[in-house]
Amino acid sequence: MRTAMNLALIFILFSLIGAMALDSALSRASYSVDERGDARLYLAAVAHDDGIIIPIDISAEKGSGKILMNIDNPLFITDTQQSIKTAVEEAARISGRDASKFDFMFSMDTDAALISGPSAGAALAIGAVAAMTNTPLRDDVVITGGISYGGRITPVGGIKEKAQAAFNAGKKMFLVPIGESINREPVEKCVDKDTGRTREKRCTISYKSVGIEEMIGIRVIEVGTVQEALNYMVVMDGQ
Amino acid sequence: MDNKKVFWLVASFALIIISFEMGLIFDVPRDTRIIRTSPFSSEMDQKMLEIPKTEPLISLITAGIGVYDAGNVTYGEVIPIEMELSNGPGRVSVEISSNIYGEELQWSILRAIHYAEEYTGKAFEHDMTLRLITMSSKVDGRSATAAMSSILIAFLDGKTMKNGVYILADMNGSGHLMEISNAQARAETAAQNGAQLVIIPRQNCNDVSVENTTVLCTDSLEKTISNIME
Repeated sequence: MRTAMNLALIFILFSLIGAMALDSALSRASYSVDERGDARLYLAAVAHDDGIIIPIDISAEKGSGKILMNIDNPLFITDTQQSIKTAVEEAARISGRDASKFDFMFSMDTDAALISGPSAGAALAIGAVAAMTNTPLRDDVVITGGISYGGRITPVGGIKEKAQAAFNAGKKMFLVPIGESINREPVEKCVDKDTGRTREKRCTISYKSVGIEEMIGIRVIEVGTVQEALNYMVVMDGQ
Repeated sequence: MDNKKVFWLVASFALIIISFEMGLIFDVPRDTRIIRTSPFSSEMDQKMLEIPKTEPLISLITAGIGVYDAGNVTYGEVIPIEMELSNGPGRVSVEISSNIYGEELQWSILRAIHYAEEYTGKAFEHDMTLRLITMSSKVDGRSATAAMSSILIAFLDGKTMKNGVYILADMNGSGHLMEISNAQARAETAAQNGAQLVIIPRQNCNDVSVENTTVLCTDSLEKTISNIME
């Protein structure tokens, strides 16, 4: 009986130590995911008819649902602010996290004085998902596309210029909205007609479809949703 | 009691302890339990739980006056402007959770900070988060530039803002006060909300007449600092 009691005491002691160790490990794991996550990704944009690549930094830390926008440089025009808010809502839905329990900070690092337009939406949503879940993103993938409810990536302009900028920046992959990996190049054909008394030149314009990938030399992939884009942007083992 | 019974008793007891530690029995949120181990009293723990992790060092509050057109009537609203300062390299951000910030207002914030640094000769070495407390979904304009700069000057110089003073003015990077729109509606709103002194740009001087409130027209923030700070 005495031996049994001693065994029991030892068992309780080990149980307590084990439970405390487990608790500590879970606490650390919980902190690394939930306390703060940072994400950096690359957005393709157009400035003065040229494509540029803009790094976006997004952090998500435990908080009360604040969405903060860094205005040191650049300033954000109102439609981009609306894109940020939609991106956070969609990121919460996709990741299954409660956005009201995080504070978000969005910063862009560029020489451009103003950021406008909705074409950052998809990138912002992907960054918010990555920050909330502490998921590392590839730094050789660039994305452009708007965001709408349901996580759909919406069409934007300037794909060719953006692809060129991504290629010049040494990126390997460019994610574009559905239907935008093909560029329609105008082809003009003119015929001279000499009637003896007058000379006419008749021109017709037709469009030739050329793949952006073929034109620029960067891998271009069409993505319809944020979830689909995430599959290409998340760092997999060995990358 | 035989050994088998003792074993099952102890095993059950250990299971209860493990479940409790993992928060399975009382469904205790994990962060609550982490804070419980802090060296503070339980009352302090509770307070810590309620404070966001990025607790600001200080909140500066000033006010701007927004104006709205409703048919033929223009009416004003006092809009508190809260600037939360926390440790950091000097990043400036606005909180867009409730409002969208127009381009003019964003420039105005940066100009207000720039002038406060220039006037005091002190670098602004805090991260700042600014929010306007209003039901309006979009906020914009420059009429709060001088007010924002004033409170930042007071903070950097360790001074106190006087009560009952409203400064309604746009301002350039040199501290020169510039004309605002709807000056009369803004000044009236300030007076209705307890202003004893309303400071406006000299260019608006002929537009404003408010009973029982002193209106001071001036062309630079520097000239009027003594009127707004103790």
